[in-house]
Amino acid sequence: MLVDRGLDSGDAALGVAAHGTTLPEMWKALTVPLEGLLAFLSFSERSAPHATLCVGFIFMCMYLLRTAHMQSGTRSFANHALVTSFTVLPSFLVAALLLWAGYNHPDRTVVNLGWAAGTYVAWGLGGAMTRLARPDTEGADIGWLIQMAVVPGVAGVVAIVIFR
Amino acid sequence: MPMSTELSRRPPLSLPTLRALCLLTAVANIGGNVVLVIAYPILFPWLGIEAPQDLRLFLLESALSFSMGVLAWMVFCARHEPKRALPLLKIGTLGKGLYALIGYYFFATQGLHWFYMIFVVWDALFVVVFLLYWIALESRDLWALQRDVLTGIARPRPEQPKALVVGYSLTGAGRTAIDRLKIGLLAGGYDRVDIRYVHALESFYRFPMSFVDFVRMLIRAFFRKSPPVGPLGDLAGDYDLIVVESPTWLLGMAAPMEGLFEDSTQTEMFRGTDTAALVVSRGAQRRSLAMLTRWLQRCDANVVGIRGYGHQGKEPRRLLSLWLYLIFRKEGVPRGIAQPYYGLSEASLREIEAFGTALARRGRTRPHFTLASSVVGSEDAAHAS
Repeated sequence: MLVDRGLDSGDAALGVAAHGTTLPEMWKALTVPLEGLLAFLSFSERSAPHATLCVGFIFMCMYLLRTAHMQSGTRSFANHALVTSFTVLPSFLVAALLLWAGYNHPDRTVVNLGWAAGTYVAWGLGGAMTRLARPDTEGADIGWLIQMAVVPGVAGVVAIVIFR
Repeated sequence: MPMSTELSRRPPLSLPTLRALCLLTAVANIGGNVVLVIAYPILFPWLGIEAPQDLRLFLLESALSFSMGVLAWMVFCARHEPKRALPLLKIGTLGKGLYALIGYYFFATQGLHWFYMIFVVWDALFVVVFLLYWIALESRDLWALQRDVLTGIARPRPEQPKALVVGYSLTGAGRTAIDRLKIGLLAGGYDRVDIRYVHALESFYRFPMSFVDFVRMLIRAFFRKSPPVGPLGDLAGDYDLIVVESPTWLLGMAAPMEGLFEDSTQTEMFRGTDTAALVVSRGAQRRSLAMLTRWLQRCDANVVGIRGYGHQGKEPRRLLSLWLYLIFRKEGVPRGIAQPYYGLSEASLREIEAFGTALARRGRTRPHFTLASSVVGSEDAAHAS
């Protein structure tokens, strides 16, 4: 199927021809950055430390953001959903990453558990840091973090059993 | 250390420090980008950096980074005024966060020159600073309410002053706290303290509960669906003080307590009355306290103090013990795994008692709160304090 409109310079930057591009080609061009990102997050030998840093930083920010929203929007469902989902989301993201990494690099399934633990440390650090700004924050909820480690723990074991 | 003492300490990153850091990044972003755009033809070859392949993109990036500096300058000028500073901090967090992540991604995957990592690290650092500033500015009145007992509404003290405690307790930990609060209130000078428990009219809000009911309660807590509640029973009326107590469910106040506040026929008693809030939870009481306080303010009550207490014990055993208590319905079971006790420590209960006494002896000089001042921007008013 032909796309009958011209593409802007943003598309051109992605390497898409300006005219006469088919939708599958366009889709491919648009997903090129995503493919790169997924490869980055597959915790290869080269990308694992960098990916851990990036994911850990995101988790740290998630904890800080969650704390920032704790006392606002007290009647808002959206706010409550954000606070509660940011409380559990990192665990499920790490679990998904462990499975994705195991699928891509079966030989690294055990080592990846260590990298996953690194993201957890950053997550907890985000919580601990909240007390730097306000003593009435709860800090890092160590009990919760440890309990939620069951989710990536199981995913890590599943990755070892299935992919290794 | 008593909670009020812990809350009174000055945080390592105080508001002036955080504001000064905003000035620092304002100067760095504004000045740095001006220097970079002017001096890159000399600077880049000297540092061994490849000349920008697309000058337009290079200038665009510098302009965006410059704008971020202007934004930080505006945060600095907002002088801890949450209404002005918070929206800017949110934009700044997003902008700097995306810049740091994208910059690092290209450093890791495309071999971006180390020079650009200076910007990445700087921006990542200031994402954290902006978020901490946001946390520091948000609802500061709740922090003050946790430290002290504020003055009550100025009115003549009745001859036989009465207080009311309204609470909800699923597992019993809250009841112990309420009993100790009553002791404190009586010791502080109240002649009579009535206690009323909220009862949800939906049958699955009970303890012990089945697993299905537990999941149902969790899902409803996530969507903030509260059950209708029964009447509180005969009340003496004309209470000098009303204390509301709630446990924490899924980071928020318990659904039946929210049900009470959603029932306008039952909230009239709060209007123009001194009130206080108490939260008893495993360890996450911050949001529940905020919710209770804002509900009380919405009901035109004058909130004079709030306190939150977590169960005794150390994590992760404390959380594990909570789950085991919900499963086995007995404290200390199974032995060796669960904590031998469940609920608040004696030290916390003593603090609650002291809180009751302090509430009873509070000063009474504050003019009556109006709906406009307490509700319409309760969170804004909070920011101003």
